Amino acid sequence: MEFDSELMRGVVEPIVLRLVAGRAMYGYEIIKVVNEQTKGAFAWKEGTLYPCLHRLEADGLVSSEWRDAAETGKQRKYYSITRKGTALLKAKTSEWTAFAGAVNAVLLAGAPA
Amino acid sequence: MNSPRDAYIAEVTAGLKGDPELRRDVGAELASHLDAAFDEARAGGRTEEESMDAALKALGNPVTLAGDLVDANRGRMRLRTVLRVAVGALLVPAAVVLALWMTRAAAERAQIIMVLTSAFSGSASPGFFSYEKTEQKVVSRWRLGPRERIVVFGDRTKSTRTEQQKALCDLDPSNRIFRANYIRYLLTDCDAKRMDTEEFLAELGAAEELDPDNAYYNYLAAGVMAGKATEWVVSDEGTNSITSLLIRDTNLLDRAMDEFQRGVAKPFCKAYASDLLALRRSLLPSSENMGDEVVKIGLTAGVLLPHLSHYRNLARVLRERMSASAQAGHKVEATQESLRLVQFAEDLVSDAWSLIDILVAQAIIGIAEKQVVTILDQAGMHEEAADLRVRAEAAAAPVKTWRESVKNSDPSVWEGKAGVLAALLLSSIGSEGITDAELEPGRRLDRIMGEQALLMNLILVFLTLILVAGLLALRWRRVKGSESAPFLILPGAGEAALIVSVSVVLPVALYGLYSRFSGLSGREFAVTSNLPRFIVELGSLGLFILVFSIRLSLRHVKRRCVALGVPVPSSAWAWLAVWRSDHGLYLGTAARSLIPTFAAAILLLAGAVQPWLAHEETRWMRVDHLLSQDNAIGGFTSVETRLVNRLKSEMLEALRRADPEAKGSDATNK
Repeated sequence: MEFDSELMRGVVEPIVLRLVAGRAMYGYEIIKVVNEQTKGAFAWKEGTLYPCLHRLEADGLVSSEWRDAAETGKQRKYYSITRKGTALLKAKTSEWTAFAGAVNAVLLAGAPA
Repeated sequence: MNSPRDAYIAEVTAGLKGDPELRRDVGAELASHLDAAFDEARAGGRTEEESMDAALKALGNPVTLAGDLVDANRGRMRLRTVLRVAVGALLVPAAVVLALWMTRAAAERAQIIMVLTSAFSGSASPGFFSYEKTEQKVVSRWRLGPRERIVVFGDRTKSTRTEQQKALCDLDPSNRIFRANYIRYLLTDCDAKRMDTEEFLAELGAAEELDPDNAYYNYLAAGVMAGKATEWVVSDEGTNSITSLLIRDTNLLDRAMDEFQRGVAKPFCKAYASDLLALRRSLLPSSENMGDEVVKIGLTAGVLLPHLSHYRNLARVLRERMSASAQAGHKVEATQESLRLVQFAEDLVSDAWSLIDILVAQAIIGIAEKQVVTILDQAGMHEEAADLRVRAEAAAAPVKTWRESVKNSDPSVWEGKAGVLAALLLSSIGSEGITDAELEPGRRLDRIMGEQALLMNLILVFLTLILVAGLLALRWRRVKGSESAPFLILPGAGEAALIVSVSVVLPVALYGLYSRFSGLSGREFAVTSNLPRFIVELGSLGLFILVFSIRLSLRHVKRRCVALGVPVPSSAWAWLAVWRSDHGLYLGTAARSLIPTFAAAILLLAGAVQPWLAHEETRWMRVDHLLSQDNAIGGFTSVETRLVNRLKSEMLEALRRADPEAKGSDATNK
């Protein structure tokens, strides 16, 4: 299912923050994990991820580090969440929970009489 | 030929070409992504071409992605541009300018130290050109008012030194100190035949009118006239050389003797040399560094003492006159002349402020003790000879004892504890009464000078490294062209702080703790007592700073180059073949990227460490009571003044102990 780009735009950053909050991840890995965890519902354009990651890094929400990839020996750029990112993620998660709850309360209620 | 992957990356990152490092970083990241997607597709059974096409397509339209990447990195590029400009236009030029300025300051300091060393060792100064430049700088910092300037230096706008000092006299014509000073300059003119003798004697007369009870002008007049009226002639008699006095002008010599007698009859003799020095010093601020001390030493040395040679000659002439009187049987006259000679010596001792004064007085007492006594004995005046011998021997004893003590002194008392300058001084005047508290500032200052020398050398090395690195970077830029030119890798704030802290701040702080607060550094001993150790300490510090600043910076650069896909040599030996290396981009980038580290090191060392050392220098100079001109108590140095005062007091006591009036002479008691 394709989602409205307006809907998607607002959740890309929180999702990325959530993923890198768990462990440091590189760009391609983030794409794969999102795809897996959403069971293919979010098939992001891979190119849009990197500008997003760079914005997050410029805003100080994530930090990056080049590391050797264990399996290939090549260098990959891993992203981790920062303290500022953690605080924002928490705020965004609360915001989303409240938002989703409010929307669900209306959208999923019975039809009006 | 570029592969589709490389062509895609080049197109997508084209908007970032203003920041080569960022462009390479983003390019490497996208390349890593494409490689991962390619590998996955290949693992799924696709061909290479299909795998890469799929990977490129998944990334999306390169134009759109290029625009998104520029938008996302705009702020960062701007900040990085500002940083690069700050480094290139501010940090590095500031460091270079500061380093060059400090080099000049260090060269002047080296000259100052040479001047100081020659002053305290009594050897020839390296030349006054450096003193005059130092003086100009120091005096401009002191901000003396016009009157103060004239009091301290004379009026430097006048062409001759005598005229310069005359201006001081003109400031206050009734001031005896200024007048005596001016008279000394006139005396040098008279000695150099730039001034007529009678003209000089007229000036002496005018000075005497201002200070009628002061025998100084009478002694000067007597000395000058005696010198003009006589000549010492050396003749060979067999294997011996005989020196005899030839009287060329009997009338002038008689005038000289009359003048001398008038002087002996006066209550005191004062040249006001130490008064002038004390007055000048009182107008000057406390010394802050060696340059200030050199100027003050110059002032001290600038107090002329041309009268002393005339005194010595006068005493020798008096001896000859006395001999003639004794041989002619004029016993009363001979006795009176011998007593006047002793009185003359007593006057000189009373007015002594430097060791030179004491030694001249001692020489005159020696004439009395040996030669005059012999003359009296030979003339059959044994009683008078015995009286004079007792008095002169007692008066000469303090200096003789002191000379013996200097010759026999144990230098180990101060050798391991005294600074270089103090050691020079103490080796010539002895170390009686010296305490460790007095020796400490000097040896601390020696350490500080050594540390400043290390600092200077380090700064010069870093400056040279900036130059070499710049040439290397330029060379590889020319070889590689602008598209793949060496670029500047700037560390992040954390990494930069780490490099600077570990390579400069930490070692300096540890050295400071070790040298100033621990009991391990040997600061209780003179640097010269364990010079190899001091050199090793400083050398280790310098080497640590140099090696670690380069190592840590290179480590960062290498890591980044690996991440950015810049081929990095596997061995450090590649640096030995920098001009012909296959790793030109890495070497050029590394060279260029090391420059900010070197510049930061220079700024830290020159901007923080040097001021700290300068502060320490000022602190120790202010408490230096051994050599400091500020604490010199009216003499050349406090230790010399202490010695002079002791000798003076003992000599005067000896001279006045025997009461000549009880022997029937008509010498005046003063």
